[in-house]
Amino acid sequence: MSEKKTLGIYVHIPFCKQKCRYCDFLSFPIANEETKDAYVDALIRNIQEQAAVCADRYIVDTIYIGGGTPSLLSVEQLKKICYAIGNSFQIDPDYEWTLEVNPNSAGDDVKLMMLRKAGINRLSIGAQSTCERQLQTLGRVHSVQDIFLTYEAACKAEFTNINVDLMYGIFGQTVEEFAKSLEDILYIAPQHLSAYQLIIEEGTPFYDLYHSGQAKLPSEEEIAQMEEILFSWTQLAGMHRYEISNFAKPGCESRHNLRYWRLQDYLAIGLGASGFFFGDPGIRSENTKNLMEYLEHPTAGTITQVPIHNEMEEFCFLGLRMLEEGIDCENFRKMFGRRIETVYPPALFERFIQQGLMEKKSAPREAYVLTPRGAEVSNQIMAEFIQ
Amino acid sequence: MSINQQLIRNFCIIAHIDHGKSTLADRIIEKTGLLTQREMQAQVLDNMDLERERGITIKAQACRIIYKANDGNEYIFNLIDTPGHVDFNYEVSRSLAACDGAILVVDAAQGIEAQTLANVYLALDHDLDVFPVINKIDLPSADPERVIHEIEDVIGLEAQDAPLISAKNGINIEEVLEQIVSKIPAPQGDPEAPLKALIFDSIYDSYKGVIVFCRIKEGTVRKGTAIKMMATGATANVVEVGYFGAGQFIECDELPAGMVGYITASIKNVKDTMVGDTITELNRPAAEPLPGYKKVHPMVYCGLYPADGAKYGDLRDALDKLQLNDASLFYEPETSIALGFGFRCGFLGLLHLEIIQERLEREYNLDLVTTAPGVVYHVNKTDGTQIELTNPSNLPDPSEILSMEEPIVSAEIMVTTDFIGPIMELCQSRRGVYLGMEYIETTRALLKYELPLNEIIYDFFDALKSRSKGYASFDYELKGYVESKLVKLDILINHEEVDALSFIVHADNAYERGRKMCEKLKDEIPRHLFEIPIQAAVGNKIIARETVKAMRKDVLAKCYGGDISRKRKLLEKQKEGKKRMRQIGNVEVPQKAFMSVLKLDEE
Repeated sequence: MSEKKTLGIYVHIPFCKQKCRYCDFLSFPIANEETKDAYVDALIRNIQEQAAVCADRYIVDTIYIGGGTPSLLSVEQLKKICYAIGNSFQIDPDYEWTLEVNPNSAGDDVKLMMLRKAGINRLSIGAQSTCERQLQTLGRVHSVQDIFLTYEAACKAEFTNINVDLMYGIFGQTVEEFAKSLEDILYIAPQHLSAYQLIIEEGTPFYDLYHSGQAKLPSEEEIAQMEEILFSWTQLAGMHRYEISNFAKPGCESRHNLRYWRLQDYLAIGLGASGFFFGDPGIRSENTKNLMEYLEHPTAGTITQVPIHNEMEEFCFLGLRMLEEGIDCENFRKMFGRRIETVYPPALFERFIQQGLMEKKSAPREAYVLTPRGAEVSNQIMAEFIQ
Repeated sequence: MSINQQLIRNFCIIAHIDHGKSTLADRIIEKTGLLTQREMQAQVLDNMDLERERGITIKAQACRIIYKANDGNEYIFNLIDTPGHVDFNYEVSRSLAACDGAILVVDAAQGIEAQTLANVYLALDHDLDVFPVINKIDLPSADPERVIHEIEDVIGLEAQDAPLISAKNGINIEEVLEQIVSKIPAPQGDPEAPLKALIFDSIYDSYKGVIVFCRIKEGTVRKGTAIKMMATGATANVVEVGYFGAGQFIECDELPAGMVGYITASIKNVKDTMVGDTITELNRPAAEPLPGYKKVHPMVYCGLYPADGAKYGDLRDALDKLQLNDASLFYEPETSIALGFGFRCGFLGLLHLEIIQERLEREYNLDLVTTAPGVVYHVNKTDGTQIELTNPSNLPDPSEILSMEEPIVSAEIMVTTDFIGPIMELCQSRRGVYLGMEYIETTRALLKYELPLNEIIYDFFDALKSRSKGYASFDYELKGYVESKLVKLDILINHEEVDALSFIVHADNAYERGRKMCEKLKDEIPRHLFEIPIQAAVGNKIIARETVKAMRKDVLAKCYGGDISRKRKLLEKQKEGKKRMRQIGNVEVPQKAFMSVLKLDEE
């Protein structure tokens, strides 16, 4: 028997109290208890059906329950999901299991303790800002106080690996306001910080607001100042920027998210979730986005083959997102059986290196990584690795 | 069965644009009963899509109709539709030469306009008998009495019995038909004399070859006649003769003197049948050709490049095909460092250029990049030779240039007196030389200016319209060349000269134009990873500069499992966008940037 491969599992919970005004993820405001129950049942069937196909070849080492708002499910419902996964798959003893929570519905330390006992060992708190006005602008359902209460409850429940989401570049946000939010969050000292610049996505209320000219985003200069603060303060707090928008204390990087950027296998469970299995060709799956269909046939969805050359491209543009690991040359050779320089001309790398956008690392591993300036304009560089 | 010359009327309709020329032509064809109202597509004679859209006539067309007049006779009317734009002045003059008379259509509300005058004078120059018709009398603002006086006072045409009509609503069209019989003379010419036929247009048909539109002035042409074009020297045997039905060709046995019709003779190239040339018999040639033939020369040149370099062959094929029908279109291959392989093309004017460009894009589905249109300059070199400069890049080294000359036109602008000031300012700013002013009546004047052609080919007409709230009208003709202080303005992007953006400009305007071009380019060139200087230079001297700042940020904040396909598409799109740009040094310049500098004065 060959050694089992590792696997990540993503579980999607598409329910929210109300949809945030910037959000273009698959989620619905509110669902009644019956729908939630039916959905959890479908998830469990989804887990079992997938396990029947692949559980014997894999050992699961990361699980991520995201949304939507997974914390809208009851403890019982969440526990059912956890047990279904635990009973269907072999789990690596050194696993990472993340649950996304909204500060408004995460619950108290008792609830969180029960989840901790059910196996969840990492929380991701969607804080976004510690300024009430901005929470309102964003359409968040929680208050500033909810954030701190949730964090305190998580600590009491003995969570030692916590992420906080923060957003910057919000309509009307000043540099000082962002600095205050960052300071507040760094003060409570989570192990992990995700800091995103607001993206105006088509089809969201923010898109219309922005294009009608009614609301103003911070200027390019202000964004630059916010980032300068972000990068220096996180460093002072002992965090390192291991991905474009992600900061962690050493050893606390999100292992599940790293899978995405390393082109490692992950299984999709839940409405509209995406999975990927590396190979020649690779397989990308997307579950149905139709709730009624999902409740009946949780395996409904589409499967797309990813040709090997597309996988090489994705390995590169996703690899460049990891600002320390970069495009790992040895991994590239292992996965694709050829040296990266035989796929992309060395001149391409040299040009970026000369422009101060990229560096070639030789230790600890041979890799191409973006410089801080390269990270600022990363799309320009990534696009060159496509086609 | 011979045709009685006395019962033929060859005429055209002349008018200012939008005064209703084509609509009246439609009504005349309809009233003579060849077509029912249902069969009529609006504006039968303008059958190119583009013509119908723009409301102008590009190619001359003709139509033969039968009219039973009140005197009991059946008359043959040959209606020749003439192009209505100053770009095609020569074609107009040849169409007029094919007629014996003209109907002058004047708008009952607007009265005489610049083109009305220009066309009337052109018609009178060709000894045509002109009678006026007052159109659009159903408009609330119509004032036929005033217009009648205007016609009599300004042009000196008898207008008291001018038919008052509405071509649109079919009012009083019979009166026009009767006046065609009574006021336009029958043609003359001896059907037995050596053949002299005036070519006023020709089109290419893939089955019949070139179809020549002509007016028989002397002699008779039949199937089998061996013919010769007196100017080009081309010879052929006539395969078919006929006349023009509404929208179709009707074959007949012969075309005797006085008739208008067509000839086909297996001619492959419209260049052999130049407008204005005289067709004669090969074996019994006329002593001399009909007067007025001119070889037309393009007045405006520009570079046409395929947006996608791989489409060069398609562009060449399309130009080949267009030229089959358009002898005045000139093109030759040229290469630009910035734009790759393309063609330097010559046109009769800016409208002609726009039409060709639009047809290439529409009918041949080509995406084009056009360089700034320029006129033909004369460069007198120190070695005593003169070159005709059509491409600014070919300007010799300044040390070899003795002097430069530019084409000048004499222009007539008709304007209501309120706007004389702004229009004079405009002409002044375009280096115009004031020649004089005539009052048409108390409220309107005719301004006469000499203007450099290169000042009016871009946007003069638009500027004129906007400064006169649409009331000014304009006509011009080429006068000749004068010496002028001209310089070549170069544009440098990131210190690289962009040949496709160079152009010739008067020294006094170089700074202003250079500055505007830099500003425009700054808006069009996307930010790069580095700072890009955009400079305008005359010789070695930089006269203007703008800077495209370096790109600050271009990053996708989030990219997790579900985002990868979507983000990948975004990057693909980004890459695709770059492919469609032109590489100049290490700067990617969008196609749009080359075009935007053509419209510097819009804002």
